[in-house]
Amino acid sequence: MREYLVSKLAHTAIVVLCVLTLVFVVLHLTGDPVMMMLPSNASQEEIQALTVALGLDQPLPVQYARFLGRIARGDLGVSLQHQQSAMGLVLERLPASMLLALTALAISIVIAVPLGLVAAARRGTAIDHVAVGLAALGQSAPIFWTGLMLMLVFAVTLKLLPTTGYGTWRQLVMPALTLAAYPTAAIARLVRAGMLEVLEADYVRTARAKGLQERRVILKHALKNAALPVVTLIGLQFGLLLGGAIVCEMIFAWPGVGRLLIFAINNRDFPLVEAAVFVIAMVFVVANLLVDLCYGWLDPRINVRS
Amino acid sequence: MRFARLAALLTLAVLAAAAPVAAQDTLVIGQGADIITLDPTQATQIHNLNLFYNVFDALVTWDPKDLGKIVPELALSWRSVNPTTWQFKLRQNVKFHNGEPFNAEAVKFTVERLITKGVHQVYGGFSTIDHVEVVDPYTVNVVTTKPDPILVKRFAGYGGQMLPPQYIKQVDWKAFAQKPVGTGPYRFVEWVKDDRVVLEANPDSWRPAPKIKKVIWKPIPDTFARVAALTRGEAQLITKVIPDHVAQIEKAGCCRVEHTLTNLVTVYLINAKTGPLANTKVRQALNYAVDKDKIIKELYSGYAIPIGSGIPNTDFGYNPAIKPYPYDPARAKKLLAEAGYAGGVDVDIQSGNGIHLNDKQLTEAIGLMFQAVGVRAKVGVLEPAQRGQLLRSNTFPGLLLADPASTTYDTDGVLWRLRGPGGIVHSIWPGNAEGTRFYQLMEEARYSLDSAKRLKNYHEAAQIYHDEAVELFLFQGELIDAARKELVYKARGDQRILVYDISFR
Amino acid sequence: MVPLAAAVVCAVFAPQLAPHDPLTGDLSARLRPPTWMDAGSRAHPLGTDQLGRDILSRVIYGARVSLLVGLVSSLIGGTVGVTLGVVSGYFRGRVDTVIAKLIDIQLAFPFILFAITVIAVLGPSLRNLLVILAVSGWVTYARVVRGQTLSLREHDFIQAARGLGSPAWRIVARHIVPNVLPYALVIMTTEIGRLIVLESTLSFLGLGVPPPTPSWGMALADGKDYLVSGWWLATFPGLAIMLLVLSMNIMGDGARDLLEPRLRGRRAGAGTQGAT
Repeated sequence: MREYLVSKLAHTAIVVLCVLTLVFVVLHLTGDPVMMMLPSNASQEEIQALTVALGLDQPLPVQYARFLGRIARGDLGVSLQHQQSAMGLVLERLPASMLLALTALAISIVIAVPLGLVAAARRGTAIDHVAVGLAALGQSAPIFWTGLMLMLVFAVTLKLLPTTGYGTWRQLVMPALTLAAYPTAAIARLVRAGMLEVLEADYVRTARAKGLQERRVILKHALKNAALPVVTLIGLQFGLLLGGAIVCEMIFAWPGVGRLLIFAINNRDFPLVEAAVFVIAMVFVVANLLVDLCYGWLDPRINVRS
Repeated sequence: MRFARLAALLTLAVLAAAAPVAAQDTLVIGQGADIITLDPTQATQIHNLNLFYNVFDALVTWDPKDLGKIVPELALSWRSVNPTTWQFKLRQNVKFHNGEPFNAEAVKFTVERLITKGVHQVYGGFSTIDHVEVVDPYTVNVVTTKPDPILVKRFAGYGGQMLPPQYIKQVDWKAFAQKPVGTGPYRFVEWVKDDRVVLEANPDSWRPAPKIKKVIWKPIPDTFARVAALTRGEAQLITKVIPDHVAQIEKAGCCRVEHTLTNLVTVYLINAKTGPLANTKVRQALNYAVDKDKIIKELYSGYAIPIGSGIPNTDFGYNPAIKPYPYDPARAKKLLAEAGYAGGVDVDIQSGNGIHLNDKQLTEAIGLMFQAVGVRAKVGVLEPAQRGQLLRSNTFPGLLLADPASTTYDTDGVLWRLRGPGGIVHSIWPGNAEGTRFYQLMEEARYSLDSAKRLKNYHEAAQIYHDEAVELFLFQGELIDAARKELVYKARGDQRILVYDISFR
Repeated sequence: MVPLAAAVVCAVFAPQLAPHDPLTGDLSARLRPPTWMDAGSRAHPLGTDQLGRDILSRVIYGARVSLLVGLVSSLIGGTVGVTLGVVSGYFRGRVDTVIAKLIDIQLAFPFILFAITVIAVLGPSLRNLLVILAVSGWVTYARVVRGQTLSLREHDFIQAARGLGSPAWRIVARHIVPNVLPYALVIMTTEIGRLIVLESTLSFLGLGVPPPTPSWGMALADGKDYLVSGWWLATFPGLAIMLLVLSMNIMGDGARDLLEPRLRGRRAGAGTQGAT
């Protein structure tokens, strides 16, 4: 187990480093943050002065080396636009993003798992069709659409919930529901598919033949085995939810990391983009690590090292 | 079962009672983006500037009844001692929010910061200043390198806010940008990033107490969500309303739209260095091809006036004799044929998406109008950094949407600041290069203290600008805000939101 | 099935079916409601959009972009994903490690940054959009196919082929790929729907198909400001997207249900290394 963890950590470190390098290259390819920092009447002189002050006049390899050095010290730099620690800015927003992502994930699991189970158990019936239909619905509407429709119905027309913002649980409802739509659909379909497959497997038929109650059969044996791919998907979704909540955050004025990332990208604020990507990547790999550990617990037969 | 129903009813009741009602002395303002700093020298976008105008004061400001005219704020009077020196007499007994006094030392400290290059964003507006002399605690001399006719006006523009020397020496600039201190009618309470900025009335202000005691600025990026917040009462004032939402807001019954003409002109800059666009006839044809009245009526709810030259009617130097290009597609086709493009010509027309009001729609609509006269328009929608890049490097391929404004209500600011030496679009039109008549007229006016001569120069320059169709001239626009009916609020042409002047009925 | 067929028909026969030119419009006739409403007119059965263009025509022509986006992008993504997945699963070892890292790097890298970069460097165009969308999806195929390959390679008939000295590429091509393709196809049905929806989200963020090309996704994004005053702008393209995705999903689920019994015979009863 220890050997496994160590190799996993090494893998993680390499992945994160590669991601950061990619971001570095990509940002420097596409734009000049100085352009975004000075007003339109800035003179060439001013532009040059600021470029030098930010160290952006150095050749790329030099900038990259400096960048690596800073990362090694744990310093992800100062946001060009905000003039504050980039990491600090990201960490300020992280709780809001985590709250939204976890709530959305919780909602989706709570709805999707039973939905998928029931659909599989009652395959071919009306319930199954409804479930499939709902899943398709969840996956066929872009997030901004779902969000705005919810806002229109619940906040504007029915006046039940506040439109935007952060701080009260009522303000969490619509963003979380919006964000949960796609994962719910994806998880429900996967649970259904996994369960269908497993329900026909030999050992389940054996258990049935032995006369065990249907429900016990499902819950005890089938679920545990169908859980594997679902758990993987959940881990994957969580990571995606963090960085992918951008649109949701924009619509509901939710102060999360996604909005910050978009702002940073639009302004080519290199350190801020790096810091935001770093945090998102870290959350993603940690989530996946947990998933892998679950893997091992759920099915010891699986060679955890592959 | 009954219990469940009761619980459900209670839940609904609690949810329904949720709609927040602000106390009558707290104002919530919904803007389109969060601010990035509270240091007045580090930002130039209006949604950020609005915070500065409430927390800080400047030496002078615009007369709300006659924008473009200067009235005193922290400076009670001023005069020109010699062609390069302006003397300001300061208001006495004014304190910063931390208690330190406002005096000539503060002015000197502020101006010296303003003329330091490379540390902030507003240098360009004050680059003509050479140094500051303290004459006595309430008298200060500002000395320029060359005669500067609009020196005093510069202090009314952005960057002119007076800064607290003792406080900044104590905490340093970075902390100041997070927790500002000024002399304004409102002082800073808190800033929760991407969520809200809270200001409260300054009890020691030199002004009489304002009606609004607390103001909360909330960034709500989505246009629809912003309107929804207004109609729900979560915000009592919102900015940047798109024209297509005007009818919706007025129908809602709770709110109304406040709009007014600004000093911003909406034009498409034309890269006239090479290609078909270097030919004056082609540029003129483009101007004739656009039905400005229809665009204003349909896309902007009538909230704009067409312009003939790139200067708004609020600015000194505006020439009312220059009429906008009329809509004349036949003439456009004729001009294109004369220029040798009877068979059509390819032109790029670009803008951002959401950077300017209705930018994408406007570009698409104009693209269609171009097609109708035989111009093959290639519409391009750019993301912000890309647009910035193309603009700065002057490499945008054809037309690019822009809304220049003069921060000094002077033609120098709206035209020469952009096209003069060191200006951002200095090199896209050969006609403003050194040696041309246009250059001569504009440079003379920039450094002349003779108002009449400046006016004459600007009139002639504007005529050249119009005749050469240097830009695709569209219109001078209005800003559109929306407010609850119970809010006493009038939109200002300089786009400033001064909470001091706002109140509830 | 029906929505897909309808979409294909629209895409192919758009010029014949559409009553108006989808690219031109009269500003004075903008935001007209559909015929059955008060201010509607016969000329524009589904109303006009914010530039006066006919919505019905734009929906019909929009099928082209949506299908192109869905099919082509998922084909590219699928091909890349299946290839890498099979290679990774069959050869294992170093290759597998590298590809696994690639997958994780891709997943941890924010998609939005990638999309903005491609647009910024290569310019906004339909072709670049296809590239962006293709890249967004290959990972799903790779992971699933890798899992399948891992389990397949342990089977007797594969071992036998290796024992006989068959070259690797032939084993992969003749035995592995045909067995993983059905899974890839199932994934593809979901992917097509997801990509069409993603196109809309990218349009909302300003990274979609450049105007004036009609696209369902862009129409939906443009229509978001008119939910109250012009609901028809977004509703009809939105319905089109929804119906297409619904039908693709149902087809996918059906295909998967079909696959299960067929493939179970091949597997040695391990049971649970299911599709991830």
